[in-house]
Amino acid sequence: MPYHISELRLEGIRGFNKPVPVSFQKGVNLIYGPNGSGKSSLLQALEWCITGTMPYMKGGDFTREDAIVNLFHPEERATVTLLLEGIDPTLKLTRTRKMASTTTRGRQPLQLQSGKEAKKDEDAEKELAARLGISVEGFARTKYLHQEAIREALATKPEERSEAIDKLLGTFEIREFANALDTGRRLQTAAKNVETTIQSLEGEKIQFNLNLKRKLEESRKTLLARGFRKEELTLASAVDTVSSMKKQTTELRSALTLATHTYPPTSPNAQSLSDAQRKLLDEVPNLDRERMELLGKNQTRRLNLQHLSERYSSLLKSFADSKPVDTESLKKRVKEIDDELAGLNTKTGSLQKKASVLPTRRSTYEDLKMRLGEEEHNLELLEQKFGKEDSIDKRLSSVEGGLKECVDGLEQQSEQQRLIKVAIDILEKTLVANCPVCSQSIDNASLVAELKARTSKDIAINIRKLHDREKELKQQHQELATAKEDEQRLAKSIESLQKKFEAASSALSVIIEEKMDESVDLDVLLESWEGEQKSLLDRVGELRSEHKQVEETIKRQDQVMLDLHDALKQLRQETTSQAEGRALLERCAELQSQLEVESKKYAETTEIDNIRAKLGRLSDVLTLLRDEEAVEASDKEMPTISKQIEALKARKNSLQLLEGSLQSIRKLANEYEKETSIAQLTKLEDDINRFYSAILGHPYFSKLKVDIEKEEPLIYSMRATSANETTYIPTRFSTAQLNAAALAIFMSNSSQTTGELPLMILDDPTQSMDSNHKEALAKLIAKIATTYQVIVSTEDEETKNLLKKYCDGIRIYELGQWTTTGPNIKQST
Amino acid sequence: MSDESLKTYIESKLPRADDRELLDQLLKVFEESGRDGLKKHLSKLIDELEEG
Repeated sequence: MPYHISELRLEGIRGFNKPVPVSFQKGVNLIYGPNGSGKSSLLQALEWCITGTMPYMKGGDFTREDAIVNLFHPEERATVTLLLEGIDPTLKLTRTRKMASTTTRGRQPLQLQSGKEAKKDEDAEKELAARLGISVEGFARTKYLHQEAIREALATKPEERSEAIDKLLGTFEIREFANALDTGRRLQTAAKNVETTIQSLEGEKIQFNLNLKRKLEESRKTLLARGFRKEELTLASAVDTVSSMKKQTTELRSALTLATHTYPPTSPNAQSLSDAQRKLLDEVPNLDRERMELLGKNQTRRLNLQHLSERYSSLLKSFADSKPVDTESLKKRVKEIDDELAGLNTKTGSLQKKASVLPTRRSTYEDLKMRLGEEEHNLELLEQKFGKEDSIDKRLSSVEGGLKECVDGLEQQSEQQRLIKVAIDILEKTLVANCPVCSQSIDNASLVAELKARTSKDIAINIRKLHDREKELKQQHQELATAKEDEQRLAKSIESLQKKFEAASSALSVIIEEKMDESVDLDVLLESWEGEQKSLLDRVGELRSEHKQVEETIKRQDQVMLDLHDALKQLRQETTSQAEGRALLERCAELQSQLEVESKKYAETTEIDNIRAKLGRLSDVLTLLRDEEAVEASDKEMPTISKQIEALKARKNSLQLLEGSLQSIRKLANEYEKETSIAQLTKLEDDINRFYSAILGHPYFSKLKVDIEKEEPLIYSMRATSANETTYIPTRFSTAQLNAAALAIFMSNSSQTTGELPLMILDDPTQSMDSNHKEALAKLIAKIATTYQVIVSTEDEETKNLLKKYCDGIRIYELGQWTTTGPNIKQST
Repeated sequence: MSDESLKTYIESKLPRADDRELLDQLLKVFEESGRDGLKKHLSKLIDELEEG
């Protein structure tokens, strides 16, 4: 009895975090759950435990992280244990893996326990392969149909479908190997690049050498034709010339009294000599410029000396020719003039001041005089009319007495009026109706009225007279009082004016310097002042003119002395001599002669021109010598270049050989793939047809024919056939046909390579099937399960129900919602 | 794939010893590093021959 898987324990692998035990039975086992619940992970864990691989986890994102170890496992470790029963003793496999940087890296050791015997690592792998009789690659091909394998078989492109068939047939790696040998045009391009380098070396370096030699000969001929001697065109001669030029330049610097210059040593080769020649040539313009600067400075100094000596000489002559001047007496005279001018200025100022003040004072004086006269006249008129003040007072007393009488009179009249009224009132009370005398009736009313009228009239007349009198007196009193006031005011005014007039008179007296009275004629006085002022100003003008002349004489004298002193000082500085007069002028002439000689030396350019010409000639020689050295270097390089070219040719040859070798190997690999595929298909043909027919149940096209349609790369054709007809599956049938074809090839492979583990794992086998095909597959699985342990995973409820229907005693695990601890697993019936 | 059978098949048809050595080398690389590894190996080999 062969092995079957009795138990799988998972921990820390893919989506399984915590330990999960899953028991399998010999017959049909179903893993059922929604998409992403961990069905495929469970099957992959099983495969990984046996083979140590997860075939579809290669490349892409799988190289960026470890997709095997569970992300949340506390120890970052995957552990899968598998129990294989059927042959004693039971095999216990345990594979572990620590989280690695990628899916394909990292160790994943296997431990194998068989009874008391325990093996690990490579020994365990070998022991397992020997016990089960299958290889790692064979497990994926014959025991485990991955859902990816079915999906690839459903591909629309023939190349991709053919790769999927290769995987099912076990020939995919041959295809991969052959494909890897295809380098495209890379080898040809590389060989071409090497060839280009060879041509470049041959063309450039060898041609360059020839060109150098040709140019060298031409240059030599040209120089000889230009008059160069043969011995001149040698390195030794160039060394001598450079040395001679350095010496000549140093001597010239010394002759021109320039700073000395140290030249670096020169090596006896053309490059070093050229550098020295260039430096010397670069120095020539500097040397010439320094010579010109010296010449300029020399000439400037000589001209300066000439100018100074001429000036000094001229000043000496002027000084000798000029009359002697008594500067002290001149300065004394200036002081006298200044004093007199000061006195004149005071007088003039005083006169000007008096003349300017006099009109105002005069006006004031005359105005006061006139106003005083007017006031005195007015007073006189008032006194003539009203008398003097004491007389007015007497008249005022008299008027005031009259006014008092009027007031008294008016009071009397008022009293009288009151008494009359009382009398009439009494009379009216005592009236008799009849006359006591004549007894005649008396008209009392009329009498009383008459009496009242008469008395009132008399009193009114009196009162009016009294009022008239009073008015008249008051007017007189007013006039007199006014006159009195006017006389008093005028008296005061006259007194005030009198004082002011006296003051004005005094002020005028001060100005005119005599008592001011009627005899003084101010106009005459003013005229005399103007005359005096004019004569003073004339004198001031004379003095100022004299003052200016004297000062100019002094200044001129001082300037002559200053100029002479300055010229002497400058000349002494320039000649560095303390002599003076003729001795100094002689020293100056001597210096000018020296400078004249030096200027001639600096003006000389023959030496510099000579150096420049020699260096130019040397440059031509050095160009030739450099070319000679270049030819020598190129000649030395030639053997190396030849070796390089040989090496390149060898490399090119190797590339061409490699291209041929790869083509041969690739061709043979393709041949081998083809032969292996044909052998495999021939071997499997009956089984393929059996399984295909069982799954498909097509009434007419019941068989599947897989052929090679094209080579390099291998392209398969899949055709459905009947006894008389054949048709291409992809063109005429649904994808369910391709699904069935993939299952048929896998099952046929599996049935022929059972080894000691008759196992078929089918991951989502009904992914593109309709109900009929699902049912046919369920029946086929039930039949297969009599000799194989079958593990199926699906998310399809219909498939689950069909398997339950046809597979007696099926064991079902349902996977629920996934969490970070793993999927929820429960066994159901 | 049985590497040995592929190797035996191709070797038997390669007349040059150099080619057989090359095959051995290429199969080793393929076995260890797969298709991508072999492509890289060849690319490196070509670079070395081209650039020296």
